[in-house]
Amino acid sequence: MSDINTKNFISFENRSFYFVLINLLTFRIFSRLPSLFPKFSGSAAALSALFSGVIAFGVIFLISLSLKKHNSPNLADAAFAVFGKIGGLIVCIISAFCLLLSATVTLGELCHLAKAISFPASPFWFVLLFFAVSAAWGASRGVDALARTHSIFVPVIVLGLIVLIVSTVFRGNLSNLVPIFGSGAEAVFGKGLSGTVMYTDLLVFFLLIPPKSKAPIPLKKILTASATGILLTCLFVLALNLSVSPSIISNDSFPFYLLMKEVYYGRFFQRIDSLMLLISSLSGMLYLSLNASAFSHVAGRIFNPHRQKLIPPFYIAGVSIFTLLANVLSSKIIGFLFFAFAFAGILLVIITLFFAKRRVPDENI
Amino acid sequence: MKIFSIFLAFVLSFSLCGCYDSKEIDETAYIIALGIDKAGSSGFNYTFQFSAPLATTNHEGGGGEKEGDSKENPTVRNVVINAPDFYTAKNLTNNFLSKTVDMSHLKLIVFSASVDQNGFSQHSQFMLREREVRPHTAVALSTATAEEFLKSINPELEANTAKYYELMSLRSNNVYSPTKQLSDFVDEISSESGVSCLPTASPGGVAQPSAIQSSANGWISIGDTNIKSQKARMQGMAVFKKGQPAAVLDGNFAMIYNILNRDIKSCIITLKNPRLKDSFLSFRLNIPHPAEYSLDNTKKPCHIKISQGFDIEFFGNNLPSGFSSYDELFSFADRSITQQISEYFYELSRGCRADIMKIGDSFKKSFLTSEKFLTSSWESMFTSAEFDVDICFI
Repeated sequence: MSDINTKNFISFENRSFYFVLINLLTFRIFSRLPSLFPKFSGSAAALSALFSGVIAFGVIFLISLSLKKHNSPNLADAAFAVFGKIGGLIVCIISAFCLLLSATVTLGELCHLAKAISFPASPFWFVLLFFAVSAAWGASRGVDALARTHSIFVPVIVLGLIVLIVSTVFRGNLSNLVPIFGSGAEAVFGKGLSGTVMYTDLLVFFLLIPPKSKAPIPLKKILTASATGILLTCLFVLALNLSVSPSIISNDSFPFYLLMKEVYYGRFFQRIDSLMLLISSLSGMLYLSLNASAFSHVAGRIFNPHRQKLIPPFYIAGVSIFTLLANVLSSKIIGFLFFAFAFAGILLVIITLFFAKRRVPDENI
Repeated sequence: MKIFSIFLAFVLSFSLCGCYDSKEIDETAYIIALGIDKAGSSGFNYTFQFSAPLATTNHEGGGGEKEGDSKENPTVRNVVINAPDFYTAKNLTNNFLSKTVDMSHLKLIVFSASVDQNGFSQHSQFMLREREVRPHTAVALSTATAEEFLKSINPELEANTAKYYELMSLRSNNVYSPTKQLSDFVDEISSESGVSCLPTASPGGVAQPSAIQSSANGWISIGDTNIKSQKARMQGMAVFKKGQPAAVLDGNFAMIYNILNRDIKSCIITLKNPRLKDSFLSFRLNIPHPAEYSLDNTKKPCHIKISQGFDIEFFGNNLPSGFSSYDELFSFADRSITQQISEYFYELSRGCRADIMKIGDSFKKSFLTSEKFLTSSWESMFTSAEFDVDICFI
């Protein structure tokens, strides 16, 4: 690939990858997905989240070990090296679908959340425009710039989430946590596994790490960042479990929004909507930009375009149209496809990295 | 490119102000209370109480009831609409209101007892989901119609009716009435047992309904008192079972509810001196922690132990006549409080058959799954339980 430069990858040389990982593992908090935990597990939602978190952490640990062993094989490159040209193309196409569906679902949910919090009268397309323009703009500035932007905004997002969790967890009702296995061990550890979909966007990270890293793979830092992201998600579900009864959380409600409404510090400080809108929008915009960049990489491997920089704006435009259509038609099919491809994507990462027996040769890059 | 990005940021910053969601305060009508009454076989009467902010500034601190004073509250406007559902009623308000209706200042939702189980459940659930309504909004049950209650509201020493609701309902010093927030109410009535309780709101001048009276056990009962005022009031509590009102308990019972949950931090109780006619003994009770419950279900019927500590203080310079020591005096207070609390639990258990103190939550801990708890017949255990009250003076 001729136009590869290190600025288009997430570098391990500075700490920005740490914040990228945290955002990739936490931005789904702002979606409807956390409602899966109370829906399946009832009073054991926090336990189910913890179980999913442990499974996700285990998978990340294994992947990171494999990464270290093979000295940072970028997923697309590793796929070409392991499965040959056709196999590599198939992996790239599946990854592209994962990214497209994830971006579509994310963009739609971000718009619905923003509308629920602050813009009820605004048309959907108008709210969508904020996210689409910023995502396209962010992606066109390059992955390195995006990663550095993460290191500015992700601490703010994490701080906002901590404020939300602390504000609600101590006012919660401990009896919401019992019986400890809620809807039954089968639901908690069986159906509850679907909660790992919260972390499947890690795929983006593996598509954006450099094929050849000058710095050694910081296994410890990757694991610390992953643990931080997963812990935040688990704490969020715990706060939700304590403060909002599972019977109130329906499929179409945003758990983040329900929890946000519970914040009450007295007469003059009870509506932190603006702060929450800011952190959810920032987190979503950062993810969408990164998603577009990852798509641009994958598309680059499939079509080998000369002007890879032009892909993100067109991709985001396509995602926006797709989101608008999904909003008009049925979001159920999109949701199903998203789930299927999210798991397929992460499975792909595992398979590819585990079968990568040799380091990706330079000439294949 | 740089100029284009600066231009884009500049233009977008304007659109972020919300072209579509702009809201002018003088073009908005704020609902501060909502009354819901059943109307006929289907449909409801919705009483929207709007704030009249200009009148609030001219209306200095509510008012007493001077001769010739209007009973009407000038700081609010009440609008009653009959409609099959809430949103139709809300839309209808714009038939005569030029302003945009906003519920972000809604402080109180009052139901009347005539509303059925579905009415309570549906209205409270969609209110909780409503963007503008906060989960901390207070909920009450009117002993007359909700419309009558809201129309009779004329706050004493308070110009702002919205603030009056907030102070009365959520930061209340009213020992004779419980407080209940919308989120807690929804949570409780949507549970399997549908057990909850709400403060009862009575319009001024309307006789109190036949609430279950406590036998007082030597206390100066709320039944012995009379407020010489036509003002609306909150006193007593309605107990909900299966999501609808099952009984109304008097203010004395509500006081015990508040003490045991530590919804009030301290209160004063006055007891009749059993050894001297027309003599009274007053005590201040500081409540350091909520009551603790332990359950022994190895016995039949099961035994529930209620432990409550108090920091007690006698209001009097000298030892009252008839008592030989302070120990004897405090032992008398102990017996009276124990009796009152016992009576409260037996009323909940045998009369209302509703565990509003959530003792079942401590029982729930001993089960691994919700399904096993639901099949454990907690309700029948509670309704036949024996209660041992253990009072401890710190």
